[in-house]
Amino acid sequence: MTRTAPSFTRGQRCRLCFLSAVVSIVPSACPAHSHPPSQGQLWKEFSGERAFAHVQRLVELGPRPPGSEAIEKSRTYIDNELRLAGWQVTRQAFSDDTPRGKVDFVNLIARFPAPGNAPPSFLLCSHYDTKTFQTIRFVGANDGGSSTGLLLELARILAHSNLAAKIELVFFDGEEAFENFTATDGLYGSRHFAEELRDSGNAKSVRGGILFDMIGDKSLDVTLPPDSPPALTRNIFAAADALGQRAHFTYLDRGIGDDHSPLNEIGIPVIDLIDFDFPPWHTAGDTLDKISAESLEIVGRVALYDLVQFELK
Amino acid sequence: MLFKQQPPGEDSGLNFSARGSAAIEDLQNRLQRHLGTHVTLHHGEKRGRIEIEYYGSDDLQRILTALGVNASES
Repeated sequence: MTRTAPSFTRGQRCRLCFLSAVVSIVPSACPAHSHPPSQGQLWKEFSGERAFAHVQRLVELGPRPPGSEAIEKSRTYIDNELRLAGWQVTRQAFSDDTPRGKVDFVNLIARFPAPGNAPPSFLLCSHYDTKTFQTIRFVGANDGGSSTGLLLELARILAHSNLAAKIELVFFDGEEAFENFTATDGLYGSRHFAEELRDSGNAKSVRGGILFDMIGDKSLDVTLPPDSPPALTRNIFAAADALGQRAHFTYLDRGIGDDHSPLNEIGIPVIDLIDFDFPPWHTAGDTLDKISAESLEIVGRVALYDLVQFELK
Repeated sequence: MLFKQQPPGEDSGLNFSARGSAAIEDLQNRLQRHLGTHVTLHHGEKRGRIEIEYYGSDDLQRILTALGVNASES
């Protein structure tokens, strides 16, 4: 007798008993397959080539550490691209003490003009600085470049949808530590942004967010931190599955401190879409040839699917 | 960006009572990494439960493969 693969319907639960333990393989509630897209198939408009072109422009500016001339040029580029797409950009400038003394930082925050006064309820974030190195030329094609290029392409597409008014785009400065990560060295921009958001009393209106970091690796393996917000994680996995990209999304077995951390600490669930399986991380080898338009497109489309079908539905 | 914790050591034994909830969390994280999906490990002294989530038939097949189970095997 031949047995076929088990067929589980949605909502059905299978329990297999091993000794005294029970292992359950649980079909997760997955609206991805049950509802047609409400925004058309917006995710199909995401162009990996366009995102890659943004990364190329940023990399051509060279190393972009906080306070440098090059990072100011990158700010001008990001600002211009956002305004061309119809977004209103605010510069959140501040200074902070670092191991190198007082440094000026600037977060870029973009909102889409819309009738009414409802504040955005969802954050899409990236850091755009590159790590300071004295001994190598570090251009951060993946670390700092890829997520910024992806976010600019998302901005272009979202501007043509009714989702834009619900979203705030945040480009963090000063993600990288000047020496070693501590509570006061690193995540300068996101810590400041979170403090301002908390102190303004507006944090309650933000229901969640997605942080993108190092998502351009040609060999894409998005490695979610184990403490990722469960609801956001399930939606990302479901979106990836719906687009046939599930194999590119998994978990890391270690925690990660990143720009999502200060936001999570003030009660805003933010998921960190990061591919930490990237050997050239923080080396001179983090260059354009290590990333691909295809990887940017996979992550961009999964994120858009998630926004349209789950987070902002 | 940094790691908040070190990867699990190779001497991780199964004496969860002695090693506490950190050991359970560590094992749960490693299961998630191995299966690439959300895993919840409910541990008790004499019995427990492991929940493994999947997001469609293809995803289920992927997880069964990772578990070494051939779903179509007779």
